[in-house]
Amino acid sequence: MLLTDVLLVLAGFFAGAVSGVLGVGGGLIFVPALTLGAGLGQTTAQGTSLAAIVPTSLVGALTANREGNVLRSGLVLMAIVGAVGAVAGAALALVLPTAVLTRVFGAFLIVSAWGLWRR
Amino acid sequence: MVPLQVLWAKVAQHRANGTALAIIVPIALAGVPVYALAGGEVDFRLAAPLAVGAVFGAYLGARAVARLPELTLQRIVAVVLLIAGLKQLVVPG
Repeated sequence: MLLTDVLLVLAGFFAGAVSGVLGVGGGLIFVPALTLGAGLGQTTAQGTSLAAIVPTSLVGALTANREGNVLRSGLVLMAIVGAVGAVAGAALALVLPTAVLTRVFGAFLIVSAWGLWRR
Repeated sequence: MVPLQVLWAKVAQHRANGTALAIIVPIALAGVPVYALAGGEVDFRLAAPLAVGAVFGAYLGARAVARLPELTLQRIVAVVLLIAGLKQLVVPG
């Protein structure tokens, strides 16, 4: 019990550092820490990860803001695009098979990686 | 979110990352009750130790990244996206 907590704090620290550097929530590391480390099922791990993402991204965003690294003029627009994208993604997931979606998303990530690298 | 900002809206990499973090806050905040209402479980007892470590990590990460050169950060992000993309193609889900 106590050992699990210590391991989760350490995994959380690592996830938080990655989150602060990359601008991601940290779920990429939270979820396996909860399934492999604490023995949670996949769905509970995802919900629990979501809860941990809230304070993590909040502290990361406040710190980035202090460093002048938050684009305030685009925030509202981005939040709207993000919300619409989340709903559209959820709707697409109901229509398209998961295998197609993950491949399309994977291709998008690889094209983005190439675009960023050659800039 | 990050590649769209940088490649399409021409936002600097550091700002794209910081802005993405700011957008994630309300999305995750709204996501927790939605997830719980949809029948998903949230274990706050285990989220607590994760969050304790993560807020320290996030603070240090966001401080440290401000000192990285733009190109270095951009290439780190590119490598992470490439790995994530390949993972999606090779082992979906």
